[in-house]
Amino acid sequence: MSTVGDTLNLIHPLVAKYLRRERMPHMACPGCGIGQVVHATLMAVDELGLTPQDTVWVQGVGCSSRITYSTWVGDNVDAHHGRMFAVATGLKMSRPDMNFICFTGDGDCGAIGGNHFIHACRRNLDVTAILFNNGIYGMTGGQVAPTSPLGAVTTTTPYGNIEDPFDMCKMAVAAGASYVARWRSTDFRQIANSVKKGVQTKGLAFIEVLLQCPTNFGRYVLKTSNPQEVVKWIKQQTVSIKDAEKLSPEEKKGKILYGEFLHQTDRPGIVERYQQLLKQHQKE
Amino acid sequence: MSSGVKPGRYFVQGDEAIAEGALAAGCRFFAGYPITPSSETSEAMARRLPEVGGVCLQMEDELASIHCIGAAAVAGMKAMTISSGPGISLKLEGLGWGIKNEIPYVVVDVQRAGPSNGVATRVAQGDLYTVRYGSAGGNASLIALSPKSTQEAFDLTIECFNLAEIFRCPVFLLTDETVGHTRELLVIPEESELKIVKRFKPTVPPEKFSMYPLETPEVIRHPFPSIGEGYGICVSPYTHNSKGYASTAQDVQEKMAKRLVYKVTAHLDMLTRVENQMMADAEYAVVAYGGDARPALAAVEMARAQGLKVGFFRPVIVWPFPDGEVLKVAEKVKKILVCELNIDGQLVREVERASKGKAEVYHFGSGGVEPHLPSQIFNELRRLFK
Amino acid sequence: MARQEVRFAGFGGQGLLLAGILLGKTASIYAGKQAAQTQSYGTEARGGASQCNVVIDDKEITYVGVVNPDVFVVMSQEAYDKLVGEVKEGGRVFYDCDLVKVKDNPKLKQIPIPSTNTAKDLGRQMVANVVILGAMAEGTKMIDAEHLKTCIKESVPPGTEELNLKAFEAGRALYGKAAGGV
Repeated sequence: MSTVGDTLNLIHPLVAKYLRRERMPHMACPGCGIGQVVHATLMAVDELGLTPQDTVWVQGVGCSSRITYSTWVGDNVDAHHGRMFAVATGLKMSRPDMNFICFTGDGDCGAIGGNHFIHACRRNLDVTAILFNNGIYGMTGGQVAPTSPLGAVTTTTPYGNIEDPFDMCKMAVAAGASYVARWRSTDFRQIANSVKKGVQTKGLAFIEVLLQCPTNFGRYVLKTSNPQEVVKWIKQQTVSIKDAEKLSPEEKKGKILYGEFLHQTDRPGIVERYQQLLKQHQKE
Repeated sequence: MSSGVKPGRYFVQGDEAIAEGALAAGCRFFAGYPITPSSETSEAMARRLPEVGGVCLQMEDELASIHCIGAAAVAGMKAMTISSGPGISLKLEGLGWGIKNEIPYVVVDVQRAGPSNGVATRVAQGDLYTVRYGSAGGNASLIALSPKSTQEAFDLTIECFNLAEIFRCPVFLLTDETVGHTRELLVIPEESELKIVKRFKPTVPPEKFSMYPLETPEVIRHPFPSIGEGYGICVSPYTHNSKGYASTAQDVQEKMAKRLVYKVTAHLDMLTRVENQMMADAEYAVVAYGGDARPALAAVEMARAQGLKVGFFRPVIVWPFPDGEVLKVAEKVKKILVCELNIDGQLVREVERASKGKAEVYHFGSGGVEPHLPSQIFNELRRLFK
Repeated sequence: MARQEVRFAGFGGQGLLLAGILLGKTASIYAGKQAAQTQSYGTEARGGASQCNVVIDDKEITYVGVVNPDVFVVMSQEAYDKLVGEVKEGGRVFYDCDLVKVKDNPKLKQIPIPSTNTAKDLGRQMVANVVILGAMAEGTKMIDAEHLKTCIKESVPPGTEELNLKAFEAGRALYGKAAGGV
C-alpha cells in the first residue's frame, strides 16, 4: 500500500514537520476550504516556533474536527459535539503553561456549543479558537446551520431557511473575547497572521474563517459543486471593515464584514486571575 | 503532594465529607454546577481547593462540568464533579467520553426525589440504573459505590478515586440527600494511614505504548499519559484503535467494546464489597443501601428482638452488582425484602435477577422525601416473614 | 444513655441550626457519644418554619431522623402548634415564653424560658438560641455543660465567644428559676 510520503518531495514541508504521516491524506472533500485554513495555521505554528511538546490541538465534532483530529503530531483532544470550549477550559486551567489551538465549526460553536462559547469568551480563556464557518452542517450531509444565510435551501430547510444567521464575531466581541477576526479561506496570509496574533494574545482569540463547502453548501444552497464558484460567492457576500467605511448603508446591507474587529490586551482572563487567587489563598 | 486534609474529629455533613475525601485522595480539580442537595460539596471544594493549589470552577452548566473534568484528567489531574438526578441526566453524554477514552475521574450523584426536578431538597434512590446504563451506546461496565454514613462518604470517595486510577475509568459515588445532609462524626486519619493510588504513567517510550490496550482487554492499572508528556495522545468521542485514531472497522469496534467491558468484569473479586449482618442463621433477609440502609438495619434488629431470624445485606459497591454475594443470601434464606426509595423497583430487580429464583424476593419501595422509618420496614417484614 | 431525640424548631433565622449542631458536635466530638443531626426547612430562608433534629445515643445510630422527640426546644408559635403533638409522652418542652404560648398538657413537662428577652438584655437578640440551649442542657443533663462550653468556644464566630458563653450560662440559670416554679 503506498502512503503519501513515499516520495519526500510530494509532501509539503509543513505537513512533513507537523502532521502525522499515517493520517494523511486527511478526509476533507476535494475543494474544501478547511485544507487552506489548516495550512495557514501550520504556517503560524511554524513561524511562532510552537512545538508538539508545548501545543495541543483541540476539536469538537464536525468537518472542522474530523479533518483536524489526530493529524497534529503532538496531543489531540477532540471533544463531544459542542463541548470543545468546556474541554479547552479543563485543559488550559490544568496546564496554563501550554498552548491550545482549538478548531470548531458553525454548528459545534454556534448551535449546540453556543453556551460554552459565550462563557469561554466571558472568561477570556487564554486559547486560540478557529471557527470553520461553511454555513452548513457538512459532516452530517447538508442540514441548516446557525450561520446559513436567510433563504438557504438545505436538507432540513427544503423551502428555504426562515431564520437569520448568527454573527459569531459580534457574539465573541460582546461576550468578552480579546482578539476577534474574520477572514475568507483565500485570505491565507491574514489567517496565518491572525493565528499568530491570537496565540500571542493573552485571552480568548476567536478567528472565524468563511470557507467553501462545495459538497453540501455549494450543492444545496448555491446549486453548484464547483469550489471556485462557492469561493466567488463568499467573496461577493463579504466586504472588508476598511472598505465598508466608504459604503452607504444600502450598499452595506446584507454584506458580511471581514478583518480584525478587536484586539484588546488589558482585560485579564480567568487563567491569569486564577493564578492570582492561588497566590493569595494557597496555604502550601 | 500532601493530602491537604487535617487529621482529626469533625461533625460535618456527608457532602462536606465527600469534599475532604476527594482532597485526601489527591483531587486537585473540581468543576460543577449548583444543584440541591449537592451544593455543599461544591462550596466546600471552592473554599478548600485553592488552599491546596487546586482548581475549582463553577461552570455554566452541567454539561460543561463533566467535559471540563474529563479534560482536566486528560491534562493529568485527579478530577471530580457532583450533581443530582436531573444534572446527572445532562452529564450522561459527557460520561461517554470518559468511558470510551478510559479517563479516570469521579462523579458524585446525590440522589433526590424525582423524576424531573422532583423535590430538590429531599431524598430518594431513583438513579441506580441511570448511573449504570444511562450513557447511551452500552459497551461499558460502570463502577459505583454507595455510602451509608458521613464516615463512609469520606472513605468511599477515596476508594472511588483509587478505583478510577486502577481501572482507568469514571467511577460514581452514588449517594443521596439523607447521607449528604446528615451531620455526623467524621474521623480523618493521619496521612500515613491513607491509602492513595497514584496515576499510572508509562514506563515505555511512545512508540511502544498502547494508549488504549485493545489487544489486552483485561489489563488494569494501565498507564494514562497526559498532554505535554511527549506521548502525542489522541482522545476523541469516536470508536478508536489502540492509538486513538477514529475507526469504523467492525473488528476495532468489537475489540474496543470488549476492552471497556472486560477490564471491569474480569476483576469482580476486586470490585465486591458488601455488608452482611446477622446472616449466619438467618431465614429471611432485608436488603437496602445508601440512606435507606440504616433504617433497614434498625428494623432487622427490631425483628431479632422479637425472635425473627432476619439478616441484613447491603451492597457497598453497587456496580458491578454483587451477584455472587446476593446468590449466597438467596440460597440461605426463604424470603428477601428489598427496601429502596423508589416505586418503580431498581435494586429489587437486581436482587431478583441475582437470586436466580432461590428465594422469594419482595419489594418495599417508597417515593422518597424521607427514608423509610424502621417501624415501617419492621411492620412489612413481620407481615411477609411468617 | 438510651437513644435521645431532640428537636429544635422555630422560624428560619433564629439560629436553631447552630444550636442543634452545637449539641450534636459536643456529643460526638467532646462527649464520646454518637450523634446525628438533620434538618428541614420551609421554602423561605427567613421566616419559614425550620426544624433541626439531633439524635444522641451511646451506640451506633441506626435511624438518623427524629420521629418522636424526647426533648422539644421551640421558639415560634407556629412551630409549637405544628409539632408539639409529636413529642413523646413524658417528654420535655423548652419553649421561648417571649414568643410562644403553650397549651396545657399533663403528659408533657413544659418549661418556659424567656430566651429572646434575655438575649436582648445581653445585647444581641441573635443569641437567644444559645440561651435556650443552656436551659435545655441544664434541664436534661444529657450532655455535660462543660463539654458544651468548650464546643461553643471553638465553634462560634471569632470575637463572639464571650457573649455566647454568657448566653449559655444565662440559659442554665433560667432553667434553675423555671424549674423551681414547675
